[in-house]
Amino acid sequence: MDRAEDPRLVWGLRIGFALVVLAVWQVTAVRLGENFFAAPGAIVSSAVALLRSGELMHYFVPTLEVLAWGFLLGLAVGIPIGLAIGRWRRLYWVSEGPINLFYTTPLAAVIPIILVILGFGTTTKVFVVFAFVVFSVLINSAAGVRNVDGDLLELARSYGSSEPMLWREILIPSALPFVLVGIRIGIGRALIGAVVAEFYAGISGVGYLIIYYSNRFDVASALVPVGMLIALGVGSTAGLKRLQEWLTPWASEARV
Amino acid sequence: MVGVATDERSATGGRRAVRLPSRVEERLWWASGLVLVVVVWQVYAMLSTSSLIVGPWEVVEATGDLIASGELWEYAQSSALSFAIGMLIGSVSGLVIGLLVGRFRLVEITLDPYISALYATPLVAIIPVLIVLLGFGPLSKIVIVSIFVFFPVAINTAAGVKEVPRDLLELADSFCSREMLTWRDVVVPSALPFIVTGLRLSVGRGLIGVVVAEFETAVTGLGYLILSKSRRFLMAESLVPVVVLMIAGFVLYSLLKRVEDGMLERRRGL
Amino acid sequence: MAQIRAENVEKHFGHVQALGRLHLEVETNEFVSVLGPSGCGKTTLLRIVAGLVPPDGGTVYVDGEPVTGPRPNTTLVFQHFRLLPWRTAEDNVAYGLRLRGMAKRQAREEVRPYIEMVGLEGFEKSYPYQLSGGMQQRVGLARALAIDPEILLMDEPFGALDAQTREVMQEELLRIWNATHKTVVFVTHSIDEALVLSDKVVVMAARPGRIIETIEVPFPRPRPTNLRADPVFAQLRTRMWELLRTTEPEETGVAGG
Ligand SMILES: Nc1ncnc2c1ncn2[C@@H]1O[C@H](COP(=O)(O)OP(=O)(O)OP(=O)(O)O)[C@@H](O)[C@H]1O
Ligand SMILES: [Mg+2]
Repeated sequence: MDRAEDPRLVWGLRIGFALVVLAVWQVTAVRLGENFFAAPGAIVSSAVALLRSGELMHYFVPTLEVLAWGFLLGLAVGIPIGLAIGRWRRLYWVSEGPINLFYTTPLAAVIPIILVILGFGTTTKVFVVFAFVVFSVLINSAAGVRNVDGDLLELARSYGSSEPMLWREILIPSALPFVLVGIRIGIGRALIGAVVAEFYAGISGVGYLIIYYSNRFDVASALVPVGMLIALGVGSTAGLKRLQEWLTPWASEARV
Repeated sequence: MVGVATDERSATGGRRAVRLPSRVEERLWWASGLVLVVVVWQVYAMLSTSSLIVGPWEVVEATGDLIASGELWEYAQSSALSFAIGMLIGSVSGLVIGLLVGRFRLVEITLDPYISALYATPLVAIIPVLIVLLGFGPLSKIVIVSIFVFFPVAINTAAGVKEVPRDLLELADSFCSREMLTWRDVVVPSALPFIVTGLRLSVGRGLIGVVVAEFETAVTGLGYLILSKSRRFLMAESLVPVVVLMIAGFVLYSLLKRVEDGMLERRRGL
Repeated sequence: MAQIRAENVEKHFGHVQALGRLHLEVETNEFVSVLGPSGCGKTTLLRIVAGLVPPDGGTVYVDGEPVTGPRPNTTLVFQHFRLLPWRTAEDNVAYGLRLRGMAKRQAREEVRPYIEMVGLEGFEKSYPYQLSGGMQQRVGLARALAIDPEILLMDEPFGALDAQTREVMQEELLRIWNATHKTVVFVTHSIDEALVLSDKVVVMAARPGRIIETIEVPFPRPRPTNLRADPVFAQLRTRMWELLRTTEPEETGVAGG
């Protein structure tokens, strides 16, 4: 990283590697059955077909809606509660056990049960995304506040800071890098929650599209929404990195 | 002179000063938090008129039933086996690739963008596809778990290798250590805590992989147990495997966390 | 009446006795320097006087009233700067004014003279990590001066500065002190600095932290720049040096006094 590397070498290697993988894949798949084993060529033509018919967008938009609602709800609940838990230690102690328990639970396992209770609608999906997001945001926000430098708390005290000013000048800026890490982890989990929920709840969303084509053994078409999800995952992660650099120019990445 | 309200905590010289009584207090609060959750859940279930809302006591009873009938054991075994094999394959391959990426700049340049991209992807999306390709047997589950586990281990291992102190590598070079020996003596031991971090983070993902795969294959395993019971509205019984998974995840996570903390502590002691 | 009076002040950290039965009096508008070996309790003394930590025994009186917490008329310049990493230099300097309810824009306006005084024009928008140690220290200094306190407690405020900047800052400090009638308690490791600046120098020893000698500095003000050539200066300097050199830690647990 420290040496300036020739970009031609860098991109040559990367693209070369991708081409080799694609070529091997294409040759093997064509030998074994082009559609079933989803040769790259077959995926591209399926993608074109799905885009042309508008099917892809038709299924993609509801996923984005579910994601947005669940994610925003998760932030709206997770950040304030996490900050409060980080500030008041009794609250922290009381909630630490349950929160860790919920955080380490494979939440995907609960989805069929949530489905039975909340029904096969959008509510279920939003709730699932919310549940996937909220704990990582909450845990990281709390860690951020608890991680505040005690010397700075003393500084604030020596200048007679009020509690609101303490939050504004010290606690929130100090927690911000952690909150952003929580959000980044949360986005990843939100995507997982949305997809799994859509596997089972109702007939909309990219998750459903994947199941639909898989059940028809049309692997090439099933992989098209997967590609969308890869783009969404990579895009949102990159976007958050940007946001992080912009919002917390003083901090290198916080580690939790 | 204005008396400024002081924060009692720091006025007594920071948290350290009030250690002893507060540690007991901390334990009490901690325990009461867990008790509170169980009590609230039980009361809510008792007040609820819906038969779909079951309380902890019913789950305990259902656990007894499922153990007695041998169902729980049978399904848990199937999940555990796939999980363990998948974990093993995924972490070994993650380790190898991670070491290569961390140590050789050209490998890093080539693979890093792809590994990062797939790490950011919700890989659950490929589960239905993989099952179509690999069938409904344990092979699908094992492959899925391996893929899920591979990425956190590879990424953390690579990060660990890159953190190997430069002067230690120079030391090895100054003794004309051969590459393989340098790996054994310097690179791997120094990256070990990171590798354990990767393993810790992959436990949760691996469990998700197993469960969702079992939802899809619907033949056996704890995931299938959840699905089949909840479809017949046997809510208490469907929660039993959830609790088992919860405990498994929590225990494995805490165990690896402890190993990791121990390593870091010993390192700091040196 | 002394503006600051510490009576029998004691402080322990675990089994370390940081301060043992310490007495100190500082008059209004007096400039007192505190000199002592590392770890003798200088920082601890200032934190107690500032009301940041309570003493385990004894009392500190300011203006005749016992100290129970931080007071708005007192400011501590911290040894290790303590800047807010997420605020620019000017916003760090404005911190105290902002806490007093001043709007951001006005506070920035108000602190401009202080930023100029410490020689940081052009660095207003820099974050602490973009500043050198000496520059960060000057930000901390300006932050304390900006709220114009009556009592200024300074914990090695020039420790990170180069010799030239240090002298400029010393002169500035004296000018401000003269113009605004502040009371200053000034911790330093430099005997020369203490002699040049102060009315009175207290010399401390460690384990337990205590004052072993109080020396009045007889030079009239304003003091000439060639003060160091004065034979009395050399004499005092030698005496303090001897004092600092010979302070052996006493047995712990014995109350000094
Ligand atoms: N918060 C604390 N916890 C434990 N021990 C402390 C604490 N603060 C100070 N001490 C101990 O009290 C003694 C005095 O510390 P203090 O910081 O007051 O020394 P100092 O004279 O300011 O030293 P220096 O010149 O190095 O800044 C030291 O032995 C130190 O280890
Ligand atoms: Mg000190």
